[in-house]
Amino acid sequence: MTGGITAEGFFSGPSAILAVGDPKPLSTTRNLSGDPLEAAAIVRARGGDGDAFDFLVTHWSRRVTSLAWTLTGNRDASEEIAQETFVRAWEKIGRFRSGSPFGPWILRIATNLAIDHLRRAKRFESFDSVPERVAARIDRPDVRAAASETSLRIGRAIEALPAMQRIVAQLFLVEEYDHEEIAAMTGLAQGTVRSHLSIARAKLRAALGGEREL
Amino acid sequence: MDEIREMEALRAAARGLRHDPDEAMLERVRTGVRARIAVPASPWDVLAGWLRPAAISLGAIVVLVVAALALAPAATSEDDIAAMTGAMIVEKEARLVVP
Repeated sequence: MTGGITAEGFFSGPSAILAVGDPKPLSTTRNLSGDPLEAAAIVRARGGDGDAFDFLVTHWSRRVTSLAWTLTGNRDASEEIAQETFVRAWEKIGRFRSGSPFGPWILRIATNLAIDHLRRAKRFESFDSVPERVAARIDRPDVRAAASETSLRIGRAIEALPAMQRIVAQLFLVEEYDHEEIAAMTGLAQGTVRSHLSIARAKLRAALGGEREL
Repeated sequence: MDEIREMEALRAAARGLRHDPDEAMLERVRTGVRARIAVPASPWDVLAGWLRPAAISLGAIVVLVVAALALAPAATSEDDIAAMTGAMIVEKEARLVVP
């Protein structure tokens, strides 16, 4: 981890956090800028080459599926969204701007589809049903098995955030995209992304307990 | 800087929430995409699919008919010659018989 802060250190109070070295600026662990192979595949796919598009699908399917899974919290839905994302991309690839990286574009399609799914599933509801929703998502056996208690607490706190704050927080904290990438994926201005994150951070801090300062 | 550290700590803790799709899941996605973007057959392709066997059958029939026509007149001529030859012999013999 950048900066050497452990998950446990997160809950150990300010002294533990200050004990680690100078933190490096947050940055994404994923490269969305594309590469020559990808650029060549895009050119061929724009010409109707299905094999070239298949290369792009293979290259991006993991990230797209993971993103959809994180945003929806639903394995089956994420599979459908991932598939639909690539089909939409194929249909619109003629309008894709040459020379642009494929990543932000495909992830934006996936994000929009995931948000549409959430809207359809009425997950943009009032706070009344938040506890049930959080319990349904975070306390699933597969999630509990994969995540530590610390992760689960953060997961519950993120789930309790309003829709756009939650989405931005999930993209930033769980999927580890940076501000610029999140702005590209959601269509929000970078300043709005920072604002959502700042509010989300304050709420997470409050939700995770006043007895432990972040 | 505190904010950066705080976010780093949150990220580290939230990492356990990330879902990692397994290969079977990814393969289903890829297969589904391939099936859905496969180029549908054009009307001409469909027509060609129907016409190809019909054209082969028709071609075979044409060959048979041409061969039959080529052989049939030859056989008829030989029969005619034979018949004519036979008739001439009978006629000649008849002349010889009649005083």
